[in-house]
Amino acid sequence: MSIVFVFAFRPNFSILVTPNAHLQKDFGLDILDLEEIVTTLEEEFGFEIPNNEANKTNSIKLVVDHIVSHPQANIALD
Amino acid sequence: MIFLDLPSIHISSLTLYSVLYLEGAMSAAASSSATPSAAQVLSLFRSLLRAAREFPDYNIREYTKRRTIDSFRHNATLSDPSQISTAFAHGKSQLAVVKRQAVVYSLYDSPLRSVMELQQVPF
Repeated sequence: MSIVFVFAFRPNFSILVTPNAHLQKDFGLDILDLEEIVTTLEEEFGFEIPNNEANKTNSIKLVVDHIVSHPQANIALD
Repeated sequence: MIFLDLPSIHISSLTLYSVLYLEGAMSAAASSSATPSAAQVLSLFRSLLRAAREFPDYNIREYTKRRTIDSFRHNATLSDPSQISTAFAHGKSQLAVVKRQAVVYSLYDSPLRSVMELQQVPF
């Protein structure tokens, strides 16, 4: 739910948000946008994403997988 | 009748901020020599966003984040190495200011919270 909110406030997203959607190619986000998303995810889920791991989160699926697999992630599943 | 108790910390905090700002500006002028790499710039950007989280006050926290993002966006078009170095050094000094001010604000944190910080129920 929270991940959807992170992307929902970005304007001009005419593309459908799918698991395989690429953050840079499909959404046209630049490196500052990605850094902003990473820090927002850190704040939302309560854990720190190191710089070397931040580069791996290129698609929605990779972002979700990374958060779900993280032992310190504060996830409330309904 | 409500009496507003305005402690002297507001004045001293403001004075401290101006001193730290001047100190940061001087250190920025002194250390603007080597051109930073893209990784260093991104690291500074993330450090500033992380440091902004430490402010207990919602308005200051959000202002710091917004100001950081706007400044980096504004300076993204810089091509002159000396300008990049100066901007980077200024950013580093501002990071130091943010970190120290976050500590000061947390020491004198108000129990009142912004309405924006209320937990919203997902719709």
